[in-house]
Amino acid sequence: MSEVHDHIIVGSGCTGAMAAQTLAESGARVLMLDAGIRDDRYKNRFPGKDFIRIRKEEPRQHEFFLGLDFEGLPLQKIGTGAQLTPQRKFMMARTDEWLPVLSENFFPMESLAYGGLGNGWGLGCCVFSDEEMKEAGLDSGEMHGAYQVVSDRIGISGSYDDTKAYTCGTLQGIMDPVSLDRNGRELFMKYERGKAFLNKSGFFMGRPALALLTADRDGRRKYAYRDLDFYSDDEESAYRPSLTVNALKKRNNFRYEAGRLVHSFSEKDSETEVRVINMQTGQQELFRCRKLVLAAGVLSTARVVLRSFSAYDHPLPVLSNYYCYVPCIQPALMGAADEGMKFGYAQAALFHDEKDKSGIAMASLYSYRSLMMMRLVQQVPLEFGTAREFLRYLMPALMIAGIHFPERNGPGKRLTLKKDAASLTADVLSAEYLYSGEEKRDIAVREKKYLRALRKLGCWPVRRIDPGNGSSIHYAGTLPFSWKEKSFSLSPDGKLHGTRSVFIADGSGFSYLPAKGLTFSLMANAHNVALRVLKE
Amino acid sequence: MASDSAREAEIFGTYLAGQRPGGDVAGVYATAVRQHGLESKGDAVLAYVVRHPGRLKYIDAALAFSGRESLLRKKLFIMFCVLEAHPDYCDHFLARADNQRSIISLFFLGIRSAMRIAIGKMLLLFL
Repeated sequence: MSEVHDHIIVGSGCTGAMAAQTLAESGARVLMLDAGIRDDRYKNRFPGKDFIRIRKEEPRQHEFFLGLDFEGLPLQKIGTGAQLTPQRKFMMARTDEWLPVLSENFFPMESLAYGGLGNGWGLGCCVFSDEEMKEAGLDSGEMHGAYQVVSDRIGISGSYDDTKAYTCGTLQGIMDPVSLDRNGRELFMKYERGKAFLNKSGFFMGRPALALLTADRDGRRKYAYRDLDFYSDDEESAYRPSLTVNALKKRNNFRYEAGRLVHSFSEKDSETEVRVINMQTGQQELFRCRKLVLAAGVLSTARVVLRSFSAYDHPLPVLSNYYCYVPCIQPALMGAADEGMKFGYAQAALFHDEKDKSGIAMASLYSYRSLMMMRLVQQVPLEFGTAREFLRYLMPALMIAGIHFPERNGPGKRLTLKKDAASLTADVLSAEYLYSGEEKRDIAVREKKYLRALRKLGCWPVRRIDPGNGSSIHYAGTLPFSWKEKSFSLSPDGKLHGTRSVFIADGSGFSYLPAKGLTFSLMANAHNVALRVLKE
Repeated sequence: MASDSAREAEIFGTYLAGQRPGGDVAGVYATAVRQHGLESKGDAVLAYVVRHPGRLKYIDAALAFSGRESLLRKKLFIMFCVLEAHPDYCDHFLARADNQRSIISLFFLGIRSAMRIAIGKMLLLFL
């Protein structure tokens, strides 16, 4: 018989890493099962230069910017994950084979990578308000403590400014924010001038809290402003869950198994059996534990749970923030010379809070350079030569506003698992994501307000791009928290109703999806779930 | 096929960067085209611009307006990316410091482009 582990954790993403750390630090024997796909071809490949020096000096830079197999050429239409560079593409590797989704109106991004979707996290950290936590089904008292624990683990830089209630909250030990680049400085100058009007309209702008070090810490180096944020994590200033898992691997009570896709579970006497597909051999394997913690990501967790109960064709709710982005021009910066210092993380966070039940919306504002002209040129309806000339003038003035809207459940937002003999797992996740007329109207009204606010900030919207449902890469609500014992829901402590020892540490339980960056709250919840696992 | 790619690289490079591409640009372009399965396959528009490189700017302008998925646009885009990611050409793709003239320049570029679209549309009618 195989070894019985105290805890099995499924997934190495942000939630899996946080839950695993909490469990392993208690001394329990923890096994992490993970697909764990990696791509080390690009690791430490680039010389210690910044973006501009690389562009000007490196003869084989196309291997980095376009990819060793030219996989980074952005030939496809804009959709979920359009911004992924060759170095981040591995995040989505083999998901078509192992995590098929059938849908005409929902295009999620999932990951089988070591570190999961956390490899591409934009690092934005936000605390949910008490109202948001209540609506999501989270215990606000426990969450406040967990936010601090996670912040201490990952390292956060930010500012206690106009938006601190939305970003840092009451967190202690926040590092200084990263320096603004010229676009950011221009933006905040305009904000100060128009602050009274903007605040009256419900808009508040501040520096985002980022899981990015601005001081050396725990062997990780502070941010070096190389503007290679979409390409490299070599300095480890940005938090990635692989940092946590790498550290856990050094512990005697932690074991990591890659190449494993968890298929389903069943409870037997005092143990839980976890059925796993070995992704190399295709053979089924069995692992055993006392408590199982699923942190595979909302959609993958739904697959595992539905398979385990043979609940094919059973509909589950699903939530994904509506998301659009708006390229804007700052006229004052048109034709400006290239600035040495720039970076790819958000310069500013613009919250829209009308203090009503509609919830808070959030826009992140980015300046643009390191994703290069190639990702823009096809959006310009001009011949390439002229488009290039246009963009040379416009790029220094370009800001991208990525706007997230809060999301609530609705009858048109459903997932079902269907049998499919052609799939490697013999099933496929079928999804439908449709907004009601009222929801569409609310989104349109709010978008208009955002466009007005952006103009007030000196950012003139050029167009609005809707990459499609699922493109926010925020998913939740498939197994909502419920005090009542009902199937396909979670108890408030994260345990799957109808089971003795199966806990869910990802966002499956959140019955409301605030627009604020989700990852920090997911990690805090994962820590709390792990604490409850230990208490039981 | 290799010489087809070399000829395309020469024409596209000259069009996009104003100079015949040197070094390994043609080789990188050919590899990228092959990786994405975009070899010519007897495309009439592509064959036309290879015969008449001087008309490429008009055809490109017309296709930018209503033919973005064409093989020619895709291949031009690949060359665009190859040149952007090459140290000899990167200055053509980095910000231009020209604050005073920018609005006027953009206006004239737009007028020129509109004329090219009109000419390109007419040329495409005969293909």
